[in-house]
Amino acid sequence: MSVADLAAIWFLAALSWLLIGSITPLLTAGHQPIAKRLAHGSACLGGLCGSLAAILVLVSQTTLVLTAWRIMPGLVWRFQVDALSAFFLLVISVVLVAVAVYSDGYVRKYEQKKNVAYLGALLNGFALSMMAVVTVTSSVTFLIAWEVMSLISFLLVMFEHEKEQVRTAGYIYFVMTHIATAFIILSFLIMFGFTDSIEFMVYQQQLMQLPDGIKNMIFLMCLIGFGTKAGVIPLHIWLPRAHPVAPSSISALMSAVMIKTAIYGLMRILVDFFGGGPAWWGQVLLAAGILSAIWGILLALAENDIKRFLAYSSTENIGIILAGLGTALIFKASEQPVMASLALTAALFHILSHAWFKGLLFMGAGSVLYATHTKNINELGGLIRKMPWTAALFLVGGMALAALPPFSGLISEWLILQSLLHLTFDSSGFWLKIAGALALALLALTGAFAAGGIVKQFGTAFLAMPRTQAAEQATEVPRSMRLGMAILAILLVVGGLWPSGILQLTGSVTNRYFGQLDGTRLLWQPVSTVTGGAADMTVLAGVFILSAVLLFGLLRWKFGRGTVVVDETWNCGTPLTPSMEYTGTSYSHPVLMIFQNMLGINRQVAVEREYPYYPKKISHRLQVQANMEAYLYKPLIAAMLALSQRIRTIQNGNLQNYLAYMVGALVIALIWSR
Amino acid sequence: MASIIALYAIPFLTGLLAGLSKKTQWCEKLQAVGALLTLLTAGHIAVTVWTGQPVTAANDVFYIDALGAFNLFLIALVGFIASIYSVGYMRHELAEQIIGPRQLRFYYAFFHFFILTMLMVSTVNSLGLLWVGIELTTLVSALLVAFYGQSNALEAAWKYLIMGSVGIAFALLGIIFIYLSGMQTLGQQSPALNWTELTQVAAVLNAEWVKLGFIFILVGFGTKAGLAPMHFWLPDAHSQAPSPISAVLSGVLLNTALYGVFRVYAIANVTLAGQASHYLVIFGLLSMAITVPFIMVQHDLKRMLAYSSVEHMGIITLGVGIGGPLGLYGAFLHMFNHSMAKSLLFFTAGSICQHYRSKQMHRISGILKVMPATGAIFLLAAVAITGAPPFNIFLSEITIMMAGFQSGRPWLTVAFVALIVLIFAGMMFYVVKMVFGEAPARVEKMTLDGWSAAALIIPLALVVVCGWVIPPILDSTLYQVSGVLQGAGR
Amino acid sequence: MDSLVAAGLLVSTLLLFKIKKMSDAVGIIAFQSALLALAAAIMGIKTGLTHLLLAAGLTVAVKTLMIPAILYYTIRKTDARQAVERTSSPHVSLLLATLLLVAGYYVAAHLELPGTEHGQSYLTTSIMLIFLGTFTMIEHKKAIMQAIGLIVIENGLFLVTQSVSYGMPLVVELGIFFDLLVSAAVIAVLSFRIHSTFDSLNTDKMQNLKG
Repeated sequence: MSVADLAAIWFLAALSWLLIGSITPLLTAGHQPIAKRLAHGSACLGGLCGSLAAILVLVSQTTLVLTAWRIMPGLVWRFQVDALSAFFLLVISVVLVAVAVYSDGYVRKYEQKKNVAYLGALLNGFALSMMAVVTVTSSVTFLIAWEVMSLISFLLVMFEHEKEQVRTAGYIYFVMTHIATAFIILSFLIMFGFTDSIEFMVYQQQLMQLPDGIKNMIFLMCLIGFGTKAGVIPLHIWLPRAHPVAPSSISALMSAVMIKTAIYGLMRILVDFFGGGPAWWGQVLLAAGILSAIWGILLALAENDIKRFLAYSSTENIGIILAGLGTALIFKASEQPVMASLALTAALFHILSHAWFKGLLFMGAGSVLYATHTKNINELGGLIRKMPWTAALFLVGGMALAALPPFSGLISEWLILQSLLHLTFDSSGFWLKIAGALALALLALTGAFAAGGIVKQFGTAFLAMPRTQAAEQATEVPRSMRLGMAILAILLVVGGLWPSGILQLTGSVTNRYFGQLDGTRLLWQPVSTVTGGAADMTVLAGVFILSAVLLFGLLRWKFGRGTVVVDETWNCGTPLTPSMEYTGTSYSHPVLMIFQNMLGINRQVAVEREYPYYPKKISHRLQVQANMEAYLYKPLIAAMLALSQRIRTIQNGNLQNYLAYMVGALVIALIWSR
Repeated sequence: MASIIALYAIPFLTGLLAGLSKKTQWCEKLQAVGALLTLLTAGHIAVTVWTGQPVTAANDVFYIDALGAFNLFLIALVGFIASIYSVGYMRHELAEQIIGPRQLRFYYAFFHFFILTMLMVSTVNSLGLLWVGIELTTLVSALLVAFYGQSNALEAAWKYLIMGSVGIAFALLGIIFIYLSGMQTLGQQSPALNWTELTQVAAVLNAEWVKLGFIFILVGFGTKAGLAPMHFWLPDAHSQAPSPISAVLSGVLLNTALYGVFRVYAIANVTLAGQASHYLVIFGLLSMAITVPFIMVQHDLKRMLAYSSVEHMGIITLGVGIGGPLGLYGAFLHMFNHSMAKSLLFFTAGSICQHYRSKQMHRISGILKVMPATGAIFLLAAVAITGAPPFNIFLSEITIMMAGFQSGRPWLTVAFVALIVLIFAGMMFYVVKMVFGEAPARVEKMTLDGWSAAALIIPLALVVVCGWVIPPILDSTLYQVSGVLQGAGR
Repeated sequence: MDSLVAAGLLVSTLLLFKIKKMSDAVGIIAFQSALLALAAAIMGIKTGLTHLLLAAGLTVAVKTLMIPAILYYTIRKTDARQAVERTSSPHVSLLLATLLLVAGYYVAAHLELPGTEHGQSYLTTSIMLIFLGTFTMIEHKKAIMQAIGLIVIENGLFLVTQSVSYGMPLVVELGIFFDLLVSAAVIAVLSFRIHSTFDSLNTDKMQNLKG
């Protein structure tokens, strides 16, 4: 039995488990505990089988093909797992395992209140549809899988539909994703129009020969279509609404995995079908990516809702990934395949690490929500003492998000920065160099803000004293939830300490499309020429560690061993109260004020006073209006509705008018026929 | 021949007996059985046609080819489902004392007469008789639209009757023109209105006359089919009729009128060497476009569904207008899919309106809370009707879109895609509001009754299954059906 | 003779825009249909086609007797005042109708039907009848008058078929008559119910369904 066969069996097993998991819970909905176990067990097994299949394919560099059934004449449902598909399959499967384990505990929140079997079945269906998206082989089947994914995620977002806010979010999400699909449909239709085929295999062979204008049109359609799903600014408006209101286990899947399927789509079309395309595609992607990154993180910084913060941070990270992809395309267009490979590796690596840490963080946020019933950090505080495990795991995710060692977030961001450095120094063209430098600077700034953001969230929620009753009474979450988070935390550590293992996996993707890159040595080659061979990164790391030790020793030698005195905090003799704490709002206030005009910030200070000069209470409210919505979307919708109202007057209830319309239509048709 | 007699006799006798029977219990069951028998007969005829040759009978008065059989089967199928659904629906109306036993008998009788008139349209050979049949469908269904007898229902019925009649008068003029050109070619005393004869000589007919005739027929039958800008009666009639009737109107009556258009189109497009298709494309696109504002801003649930029917008639017309094997296949697949999804929608919407005692969408919320099964099916059908996968309508729409690109009319397809997205956005706004959330306190929880469940299961299964796989029997049928129009698709 | 009949048809139709009482309209319809039957009969005798004679007979039975009777009964039962109501004044509507006659003449002159020898003289008339019938439906507000307009259109169509092609095949012809009869009955039924619900036959009151 060849490796491909083996992989095929595991892949089939994964699909089957998920299929079972999406049906059986509904059949056993009468016994919620059984249904719950069935759903999460199947999802977990499906994830394991999927990961195995993906790793087998990536390691052995084979391609497996499964033909399922015939839908219509000329339209067959087929699965094909090549390197690119396998990579994304891996992303999905691994997070799925963690989420399935986590969910088993998390859904207790809904017991007796909601139908847990339904949630579990949808979870499986969601995972199944995502797996299908990254493995199908024709445009129509892709669209079906893609829309099933959207539909199921919509239903999942609507899970707690009793709340008005959830319904609005769900509706906006559903419509935005449908508009995105329309653009994707159009881009596929253009491809169909030129090749007369819907098969990806034909596209791989023929699309390169399309005229440039058509190629560009397809690119733009794809960018809008997939960009919306990925949450690229300014198409992101659904994301910060929908992700936070879904059950946290689902938010984790959506943010960590689902938006990546859009990246898959982009890669499939731009890299696989078009082999990279002209340089300006890459430049556009880079620009969009950087814009999303910086804007996204600024919006994130303003948030006091943990889940909304994480959602905006997803926009940021998608931006980083797109920047990597864009850089890869730029290099490819200027025939620097190794550099292109490096940039693509960076993007792929970041896809993985973002999936892990964002999954972990959403689950962490879910744990907080589970324990305290609130997502607002200004109502939390001091959770580190009540929920030490959650706090530690959340911190791991947060550090990875802030790109701190020793987690894989650092590695991937380092790779991206590295490829941007290459763009600055090794690319041809003055403006490109400038752009590279600018992108580098902005990305570095983004990193700083991300660190600031996570410090704010963690600090406000977990440190200091509880601000409310709910935070006071929080208890540690069930073991399965901690386990689910731990899986991803461990992966983050593994990715940070043993990146060469992951680089081997990404290598089989990059080698296929771009230049050969020695994955094991790549990481340890900082700014270098094409052939590499400069200072080894291990040396650099050694230097880093050594200097840290030296610094520590120096300080110790200079100041001696410090003495720690533990005592009460001095507060002019009055007791400490939570209201004295630094809130989330105050934390981000200085930064936000710098970008006041850009973001559209609304600041209100209300002073309640009994005597002049002696205020009783000052409340400070900071609101991000989101300029984009106010100036881009709202006028558009209002105009459309106003126009509709005008047109509706033609149906005025008057029969004589109707008859006149009819005769008019006849007369116009007759005149036109002359 | 025997089966054709049965096809006419069964609905007629069923209607007669249902109208005369004294006990409502009997009446209900009798008509359900009658509808089943009609379905079986129609199925028998359809299978005979699809697996063999077109059926002709009674000295060429009757002629059923694949297209006719397709329409025939669809009518009988939707008719059967609607008759089953009617039982549950009308019991509720009886219990609420909205209607009395007399109206109930009237309803069942005319329901079957209505089916009969539509069956007649798809079995006759002569264009003249086809016209007679379509006019009869208007007359019978106008009474059904007026069934509730309140002011709104009467208003709707009157508008329907008058617009339908004027439209049909135009169509008759068109048919006369076609007849004249046929006679010119075939000779004075020939059966120059017969479809079988006309197709033989389509290429040599007088182009000027056929064009004129086609335009009159397109506008005339297009009025019945709900093509814009002749569709104004449609939202009124569909929203005021009892819900099972709305389903039949939307699901098959519109198809039947389109059937008349396509029959003539098949001849005209050959005579005019492809020129006729432009008219279909324009009317199709216009019908889709005109519904957008009405779906975006709407208050009445059933009106919204009615506008959606206008849209879908536009899509079918557009598909046939685009033509080519792919376009025709897609268009007729769409016809089938739309019938299923729309009847599902009207049935569920009917139950919802009955239960909430209102058709106003702002008064309906939290359907999933009070009627879980109905709400879920309604949501599913609404998603399906807007063309989202994995349901049947997506497959037919994408086929038509692909045909649009294949035939070198990409801008048409871009407009098509843009319009359905707008309609999706408009419709989902209301659907999400209605299906989700909390129900008003006055509405109690309710489970689906057996008759309604039985009626919902067939279209539900077809909507779901046909989104994943087109059954081989349907597939080969659609090929034959598009073969009938293939001359037109050249 | 043909031109006399044609003139009679046109004048009687134009009168529809002059009348004040609805029952007059019914009389006009009956008269018009009788003329139509006469025309068909003349043609039947000239050509010796029996089914034209049959059509003439049917026209007399259905259009001159039964339908007017139904309509007259309906009007008597529903509207006591019987006054017609128009969108514009009688003079304006008569003017418009005359303009339509000119338009009809123009259109008919441009149609080159492969017709029979009797065709051309009646064709112009029938096109005008169709125009005027449609105009009646748009112009008049009373529900019954819309039915009258419909019958005028039908008469025009009948005239086209009789004159240009010596009628349709017999089955179709019978079907059309049957339809006409049924539609008159349905119109009557609906009119009764509209009258009892709205307390009037004015279609202006039926403008509740919008948007």
